[in-house]
Amino acid sequence: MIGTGIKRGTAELAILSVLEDGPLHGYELAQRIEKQTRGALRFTLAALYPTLYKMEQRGWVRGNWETSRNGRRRRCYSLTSAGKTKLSPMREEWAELFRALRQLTKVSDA
Amino acid sequence: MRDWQALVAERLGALEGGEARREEVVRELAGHLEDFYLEKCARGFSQAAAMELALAQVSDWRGLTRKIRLAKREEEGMNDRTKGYWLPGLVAFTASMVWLMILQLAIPMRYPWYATDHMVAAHAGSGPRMVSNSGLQIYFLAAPYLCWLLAQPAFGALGAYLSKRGGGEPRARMVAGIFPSIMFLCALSFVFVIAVFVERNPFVFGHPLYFAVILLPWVVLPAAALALGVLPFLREAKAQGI
Repeated sequence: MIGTGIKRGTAELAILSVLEDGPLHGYELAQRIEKQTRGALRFTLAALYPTLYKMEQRGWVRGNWETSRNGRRRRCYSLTSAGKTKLSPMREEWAELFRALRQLTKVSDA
Repeated sequence: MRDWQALVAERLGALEGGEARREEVVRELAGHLEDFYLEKCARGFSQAAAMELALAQVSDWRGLTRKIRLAKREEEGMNDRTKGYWLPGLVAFTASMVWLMILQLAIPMRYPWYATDHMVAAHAGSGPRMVSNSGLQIYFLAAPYLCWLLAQPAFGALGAYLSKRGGGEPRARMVAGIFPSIMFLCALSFVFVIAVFVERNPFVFGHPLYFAVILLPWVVLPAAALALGVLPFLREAKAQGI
């Protein structure tokens, strides 16, 4: 299980990466992240929404209310152009960090 | 059927921005909890167990309220663009202008400010003389102008440093650093447009290179000097913080 500190740091990258594939509402977003990371990253409601709101205020994601087929209104989040621009250097930074950690700890992918 | 909105509204504290804003957050969080609950029920959990798991999503509602309040407050604070571009750029521009003003007050010589005089005179349509070669030489030799120009790397560095501190990308740091020159270019362009299209100034039509000559000492050279100060701040730190 990944520690809380690292999770907090990866939250924004995870959200931006998942939203790159298309708009999702909060619950779907949390589900998608959990599924794609095989449970390594799990967002509770308390962790997800403050991060999403912060990213929305920064202009990286945009939330719009939409009505689903069953009549329920949900707020769908999509990536903005500022978010797309942010994603690329963020990925590079994390890739660099992982490389450095691999070298340091001699942990391999295999 | 549970009233999830009532459940969240009861637990979530007050948020800034009025009741409508709070209701929106309540509706969104309630929707999330409902989805979670329904999914657990569909997986075979009892309603009580699913409810317990849903409520465990938030162990500290006061803490969540505080986090949401802080996240939403960023809107009223400075966004990334303000911190990365505008504020550092304006600080660099102000510092550069204050330095220019100090030099003008300290050394009230006519010749070093020759181009400014020409620009204003052209704008007023009073037909100033063409900037001559000797005029250009004055720019490069005049002590006040050189004092101003030589200080530009410091202002460029100031803008880039503030931009970097504000989380600005290298491009933002460069823009913030050379912002004083960008402002000069905008001001000169504005005067040019007025002179050509509004006043149809005969002097400007008679001397098409006039503005180009002004651009060299007041935009191009300062921009290069400012960029020099920006360079050390363009490198990304190798160390990463978690």
